[in-house]
Amino acid sequence: MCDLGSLLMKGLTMNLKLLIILLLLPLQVFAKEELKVLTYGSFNSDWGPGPNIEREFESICNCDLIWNTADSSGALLSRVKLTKNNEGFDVLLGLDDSLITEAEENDLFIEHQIEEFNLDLNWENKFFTPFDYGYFSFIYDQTKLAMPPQSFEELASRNEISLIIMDPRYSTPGLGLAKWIDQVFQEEAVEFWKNLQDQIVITSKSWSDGYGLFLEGESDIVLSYTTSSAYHSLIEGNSNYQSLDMMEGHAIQIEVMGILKNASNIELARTFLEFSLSEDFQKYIPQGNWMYPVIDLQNSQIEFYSAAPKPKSLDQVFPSLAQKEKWISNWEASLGE
Amino acid sequence: MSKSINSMGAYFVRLPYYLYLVTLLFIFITGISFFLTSTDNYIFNFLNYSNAIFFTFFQATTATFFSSILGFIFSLILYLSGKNQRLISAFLNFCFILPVIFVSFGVIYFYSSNGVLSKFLNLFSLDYDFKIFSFAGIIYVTSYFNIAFNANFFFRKLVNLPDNYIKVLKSNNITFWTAVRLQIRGYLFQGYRSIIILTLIFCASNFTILYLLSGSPNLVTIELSIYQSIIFNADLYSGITLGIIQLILMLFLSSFIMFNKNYDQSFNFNKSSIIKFPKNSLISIGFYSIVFYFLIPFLILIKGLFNFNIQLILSKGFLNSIFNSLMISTFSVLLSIFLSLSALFTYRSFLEKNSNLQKFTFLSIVILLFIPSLTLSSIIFYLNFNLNFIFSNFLIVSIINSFFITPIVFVFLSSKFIENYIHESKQCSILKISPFIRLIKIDIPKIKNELVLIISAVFVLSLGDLTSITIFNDSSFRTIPLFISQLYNNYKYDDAFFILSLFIISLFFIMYLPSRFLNRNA
Amino acid sequence: MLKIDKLTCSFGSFDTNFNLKILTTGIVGVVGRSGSGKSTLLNLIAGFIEPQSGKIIYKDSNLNELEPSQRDLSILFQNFNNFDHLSIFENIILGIDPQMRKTSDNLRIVRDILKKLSINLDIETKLNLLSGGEQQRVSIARCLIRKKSLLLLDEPFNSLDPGLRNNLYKDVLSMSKKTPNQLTLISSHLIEELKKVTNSFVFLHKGRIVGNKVLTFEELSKYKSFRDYLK
Repeated sequence: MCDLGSLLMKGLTMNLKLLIILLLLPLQVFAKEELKVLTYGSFNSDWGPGPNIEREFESICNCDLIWNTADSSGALLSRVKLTKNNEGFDVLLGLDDSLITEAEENDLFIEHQIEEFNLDLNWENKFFTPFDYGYFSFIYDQTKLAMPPQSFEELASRNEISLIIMDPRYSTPGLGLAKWIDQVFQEEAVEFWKNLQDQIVITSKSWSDGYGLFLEGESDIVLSYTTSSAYHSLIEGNSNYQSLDMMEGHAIQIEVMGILKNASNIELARTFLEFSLSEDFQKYIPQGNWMYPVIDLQNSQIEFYSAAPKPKSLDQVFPSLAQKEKWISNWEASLGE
Repeated sequence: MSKSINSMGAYFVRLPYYLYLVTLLFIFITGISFFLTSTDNYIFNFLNYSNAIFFTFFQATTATFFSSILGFIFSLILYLSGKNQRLISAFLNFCFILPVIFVSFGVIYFYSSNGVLSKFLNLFSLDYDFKIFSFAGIIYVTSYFNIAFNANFFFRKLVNLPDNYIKVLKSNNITFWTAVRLQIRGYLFQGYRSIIILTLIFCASNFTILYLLSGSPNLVTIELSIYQSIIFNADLYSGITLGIIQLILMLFLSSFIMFNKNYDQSFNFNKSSIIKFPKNSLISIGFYSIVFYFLIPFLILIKGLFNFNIQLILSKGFLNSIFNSLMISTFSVLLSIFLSLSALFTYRSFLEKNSNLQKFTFLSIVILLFIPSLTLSSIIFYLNFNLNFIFSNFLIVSIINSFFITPIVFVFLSSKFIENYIHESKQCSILKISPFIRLIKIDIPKIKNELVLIISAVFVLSLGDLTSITIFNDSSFRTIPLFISQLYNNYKYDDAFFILSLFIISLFFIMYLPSRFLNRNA
Repeated sequence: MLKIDKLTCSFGSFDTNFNLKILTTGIVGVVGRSGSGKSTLLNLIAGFIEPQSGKIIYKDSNLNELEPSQRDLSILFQNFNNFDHLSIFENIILGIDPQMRKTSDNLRIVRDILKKLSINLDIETKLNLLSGGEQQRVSIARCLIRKKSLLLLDEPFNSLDPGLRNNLYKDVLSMSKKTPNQLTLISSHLIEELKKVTNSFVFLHKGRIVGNKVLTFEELSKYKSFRDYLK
C-alpha cells in the first residue's frame, strides 16, 4: 500500500510539474522583447524626451524599451569600449558627430541598413543616424548682463564676464566649444584660449552640471545651445535667459545613434532607428531635448522655432582622432597659464 | 571527538583570514602582472598626470595643516567651555563619519553664489564673491572632517588629563594657556604623529569631495584622474597605473605609523573632575562658533524636510537605491566582522606563541586603511575586465567597502580583545579551555558592547560611501549617495536635499540607538 | 595658625563638618580609614573643592576668598605630581618660574635643592626615566623651593615600597626641621609609619575631625572610633 501510495504521489507530482510548465509556456511566447538603449542622463530625465518616446515606441513595437544612462555624453562611448558592451545594450543614443570617426575605428557598431533619409540636413553615414542637432552658444541672464558680447574677441576682452564651460575631454558640449574655437581662430586658437582662461570660473564634467551651476548664479554666462533659452521662455515663461549671437557664427552639433555590434536584438534596434527618423519620435525633440529635429517640423513646431531661431552656422566638421586631439590640446595648452 | 571538533572549529575560524590573505595576494599579483603584460604601445605619460600627482599632495598638505591647527584650537575651547564632555566627543565623532556627500552639499548650500550666506549678506547690500567650487572649497570640506578628527584626539587628551596635573598647575599659579604652551604640550602631543599622518592620508584620499567640488581641470587629484581615465577615456591602463602610484605613495606615508601603536583609545567619561574652569565670555563665543561651524551642513535638513515628496519615496529609483545600499552595507559589514574576528583569533594565537607573525597579522589588516578605494577599484576593474566581467558590481562594491571598514573594526576591537586575553590567558591555560571555545564562550561575549558600537559606526560609514560605486554602477544598481548625487546633477535640488535629510536622520539613529540600548541594559 | 570653622561639603554618603584649630608648626598626621574624608579635607584647604559653608583661616587670611595659587601653601599628591615628559629641572623650577627658563639663578636653585635632598641625577633627565621614589622626591624638591609655610601631603608615598616610604618620611622630617615656621599636614592610612615622624594627629571619622583638634596618639586612643580604626 505504501509503495502504491508513494508511486501515486510521484506520479501526481510529476504531472503537476508538467502542468505548470505547460501553463507557463504560452507566457514565454507572450514575454515582450526588450530593447536596451544607452543614452545620457538628461535625455531620459522626467522632462526629457525619453519617457514620451518610450511610450510611442512601445505602442508600435510591442516591446519593452529600457533606458540606461551614463554620467555624461562623453562617457557613453567610453563605457561600451571599456566594457565591450557586456551589459548587452542594443542602441547607443547621443553620440556626438565629433566622435563618429573614433567610434567607427573601434569597430563597435554595425551598419544600420536604412536606405532612405528624408532629413532636414545633409547626412551620409552607414553606421549612424542623426536624431537631432543644435548650435553651440552661450546663455546669459539679460537682467544681469545688459550688454552681452557679440563676438569671441569681445567676450575675451571683457574680463568681468565670468564663464562656465564643460571639459572638452569628458563632455560633448565642451568638445564642441573646442571645435568652435578651432573653426573660428584656427592657428590662433591656443592664444584665444589663453585669453579666455581667466574668465572661466568652472569647468564642469557635464552639460547638466555646468548649466545647473549657472542657474545657481555661479557665473554670468554658460556654454550651452541656442535653443536653451527657448526652454526658459516656453516652459518657465521666463524670457530673461537669452543666447549670445556671435558674429563669427555658431558651430553645429549633430547627435547620432547607432546599433552596437553585440546587440541582443538587432532587428528591433533597426526598427528603433527607423522610428527615430519618423515624426512620432522627432516631435518630442524640440520641446523635450531642446534641439532641432532632423526632419522638417516647422509647421507643427511654430512656437519652438519662433523661440529658437537658427543662428549663423559654421560648416559641419567630422574630425579624425588627430584633429579631435588637437582641439583638446589647444585647450590644455592654456591651462597652465 | 570534542578535541577534533575544537581543532576543526579553530581552522574554520582562521579560514576567512587566510582567504583574505589569498585575495590580497591575488590583487597584488594582478597589479604586478599588469606591468609585465601591458601592451607594447603603452607608455605611461607621467607629464600628463604630474599636475594631478602634485595637486593630490599639495591639497592634502594644506588641508592637514588647517585641520591640525584648528583641531587643536577647537579642542582647547571645547574643553574650557566645561560643557558635557561625552556629548562633545560624540558630536565630533559624528561629524567625522558624516557622509561626504552630505557635508559637500551642505557646504554648497551655505556658501554658493546663491546660497544662504550670500542671501544673508545681500540683505545688508554686501557683496559676496567667494566661489565654493574652487581650491578653497575643496580645502574647506576636506578639513571639516579632519578638524573633527584632530579636535577629538586633543579633546580626549585634555579630558584624560589627570586632575592632579591641573591642581599642580593651579597651585603653582600656572595659567592653563601657559601650561598648554609649556608644561602639558608634550603630553598633549604624545601619539600625535600617527594622527597627523592619518590626517594626511585621509586628505589625500578625498575623491568624493573632488568629484563634487572640483570646478577646474587643474584641481584634479590622482583618484579623480583614475575615475576620469576609466569612465571617460576608457583608458584602463592609465587608471591602474595611477592607482598603483597612489598605493605606493600611501604605503610610504603609512610606514611612518605602521609600527607606532601609541594611540590611546581609552576615554574615561566617568571620572568625575573636581576642576572647574571659570566662565569666560570669549570661550563661550568660541564654543558656539565651533558648534555653528560644524552645524553648517545641517542647514540643508531644514530645506530638505520642508520638501517632503511622497512620490519620490515610493519611486522605483529610490527604493532600488535603498535596497542596494542596505544590501551592500549589510554584506560588507558581515564580511568585515567575520574577517576581523578571524584575524583577531589568528593574531592572538600568534601572540600566545610569542611569534613575530602577530605583527604580520596586524599589518596585513591595517594595510587596508592605506589603500584608497579608487585604487582598489581600478585594480579590480582591470581584473574583472580580463576575466570577462565574471564578478557582479554588487560583489565588487561590497568587497571594496568591506576592505575599507575592516581595519577600523579590527583596530577598534583589538585593544579590548587583547586586554581580555591578558586577563584570562592563565585561567584558560590552567582550565585547558581550547582557543575555539574561548572565542565563542568568552571573547565574543566580552566584547559584545564594543561589537555593537563598531558595527553601527561602520554600517553608517559604508552607507555613506560614494567612491567605488561611481565606477561600478548602472541604471539598476545605485546606492543612496549616488542616487542623491544624480538628483542634484539633474537640478532636482529639493528632492536631493529631501532624500539627504532622510538619509542623515536615519544614519543618526543607526549610529546612536544601539549605544542607547546598551546603556539601558548596562 | 590654621583654623577651620564648620567647613561643610557633600562627600560620598555623608556630609563633612570639619572643625579644627592648629596653633603649632611642624608635622601633623591626618589619619582615618579610606573614605573618611582625608583627601577632601586637604583639597578644601588647598582650594580645589569649594565648601558649601564654613571658613578656613590661615595666618589671619580667610582662604575662602583666595584662589589656590594665592594661598600660601604647596600640595603633593599620591601620583601625577610631575609631568613625565618634562625634565627634573623643568618639573622643579615650574614651582617658582612657570616659564621654566634656564637662567643661572634657576639652575643654581635647582642644583641646591637636589643636593639638599641628596638626589644625584642629571637635571636634564626626563621624569619618566625615574623610579617612583625618585619622582616623588622631585615633587618634594618643588614644594621646598616654593618656600610656602603650609605644606599638604595627600597620601604621597602610598604607592611606594616600605623602604622607600621610610626614606621619604625622613626627608619630610628633615625638611620640617629646617623650616621651623612651616606646618606640614600629611594624610595617610598607615598611622604606624606616620608615628615615626610625628606624634600629632588629626583623626577623621565619617567626615568629622575627632576632638576638633590635634591630639597625640595616646590622647586619640581614648576614643573608641580610633581604637576601632587601629584594629
